[in-house]
Amino acid sequence: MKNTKSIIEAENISLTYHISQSFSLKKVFTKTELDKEKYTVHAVKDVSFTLDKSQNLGIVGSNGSGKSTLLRMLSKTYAPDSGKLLVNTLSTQLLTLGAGFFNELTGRDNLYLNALLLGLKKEDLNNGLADEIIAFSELEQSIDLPMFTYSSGMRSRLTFSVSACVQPELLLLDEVFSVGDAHFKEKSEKRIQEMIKSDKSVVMITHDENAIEDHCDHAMWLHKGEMKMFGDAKHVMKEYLDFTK
Amino acid sequence: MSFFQTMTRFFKELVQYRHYIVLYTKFLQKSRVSNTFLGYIWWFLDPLLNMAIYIILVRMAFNQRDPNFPVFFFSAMLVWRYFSMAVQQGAVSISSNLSICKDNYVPKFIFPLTVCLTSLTPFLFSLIFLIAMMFLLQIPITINLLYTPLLILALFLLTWTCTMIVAHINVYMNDFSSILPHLIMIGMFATPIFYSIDHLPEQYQFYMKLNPVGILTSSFRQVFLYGAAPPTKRVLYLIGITFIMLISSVYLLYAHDQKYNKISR
Repeated sequence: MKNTKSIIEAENISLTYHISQSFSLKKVFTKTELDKEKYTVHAVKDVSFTLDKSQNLGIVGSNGSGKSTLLRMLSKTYAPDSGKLLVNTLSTQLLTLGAGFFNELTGRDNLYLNALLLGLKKEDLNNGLADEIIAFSELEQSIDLPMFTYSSGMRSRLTFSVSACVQPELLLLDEVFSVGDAHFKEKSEKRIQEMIKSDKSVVMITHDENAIEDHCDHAMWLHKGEMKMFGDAKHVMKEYLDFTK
Repeated sequence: MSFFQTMTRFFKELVQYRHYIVLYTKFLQKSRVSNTFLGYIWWFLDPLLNMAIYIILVRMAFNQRDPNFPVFFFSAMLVWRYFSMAVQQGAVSISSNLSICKDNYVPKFIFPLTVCLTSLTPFLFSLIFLIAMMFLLQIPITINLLYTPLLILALFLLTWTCTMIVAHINVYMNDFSSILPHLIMIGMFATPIFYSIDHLPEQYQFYMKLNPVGILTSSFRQVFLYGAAPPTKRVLYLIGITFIMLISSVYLLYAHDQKYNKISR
């Protein structure tokens, strides 16, 4: 690590999605050249920035501007096609509600699988952490029922409760700020606020301008995959709001 | 990534995710029987039915007079059954679990591994039936039976690496799962199960001996039916090729780890 102060160093990172084409006899006979541009999506183009430790970054932009793709690159599930990306920590977590569940297994089984995958320790889970998670989710009644009996609200409660226990050094939030019904919403919102306010680094995507101005040191404005602006949160938000009006 | 880095990462992750692997395997077994009426009884009913059907049918079809034929056949068949079942079930193991890996990193070798571990249970039941059959047919049990754990380990590692390669191809080529049953059918006839290699014409024997699964079926037969040690040179060749394949498939999965998610489907 050459620069221990920064947690993310990105240099001209780009990512392209290719849409795969099936073999077609018609194309062979008519000798039509594949229009390659038509089947590629440039999700992120030439983005460069650095984020220091314990600083928060907010990402804004219209739908389809590459925000989620950028976040997944930071969580190391996608590799950039070109450019250099350094994430100076091993504990990153992308908080989402779309975790994979096994429908035939019980809520408790799924909780364990999910928690182990996110890096929680088995000993801790057995020594009360699992009960804590269940208590937080308030799903005691149905935790031993198979997952297919759960409503989507209950599912997101369970995922949220598991992920909120992890304390990564770099937390990535993709428009997840609260889940569930009115009662749980308040509780989860409080939890998220605590996580954001801690001295860990947070990168968040949101359409809520107040959240960015309140919690973030920097903001990034993405437009059609390109970085339009990066800098002080208040300044970027002002320009962005002027633009969208 | 250098060779050394790949291997240290591999062993580190194997240790780091050991609880997840064990739990996932357990739950995979649970979910396989959870919707069935007979539940866990299937673990031993399945190999028993398989053995009965094959032995009765094959015995009639081949008009076998050899009283030891059930052991001759089943000692090889259980190896092939384990291999082919794990490879077939594992073919979709990476592609169907990509939703879990979409947001957070999971080493992909875990999914083929859990499939291979899950399939071990019916395999071990088959081994028990084989030994019971040996008692029934009064086939002598010798000290060479102690080679069995080594052979099982080799079989497990070989199956794991083949499952990884098949699962990798299947992410990029959905059609592959349609080709696979045919490849497995070819493999079954190219492996000494219904016959033994010395029944073949001499000019083909050398090539048939290169088949790693064939080495395992022959070795199981050597140990269980003939009470002899497995052929040393061929087993060494098997171990060598298994390690080379294992290392390259782990390398392959690491190299593509961040590309799987981007595949459109």
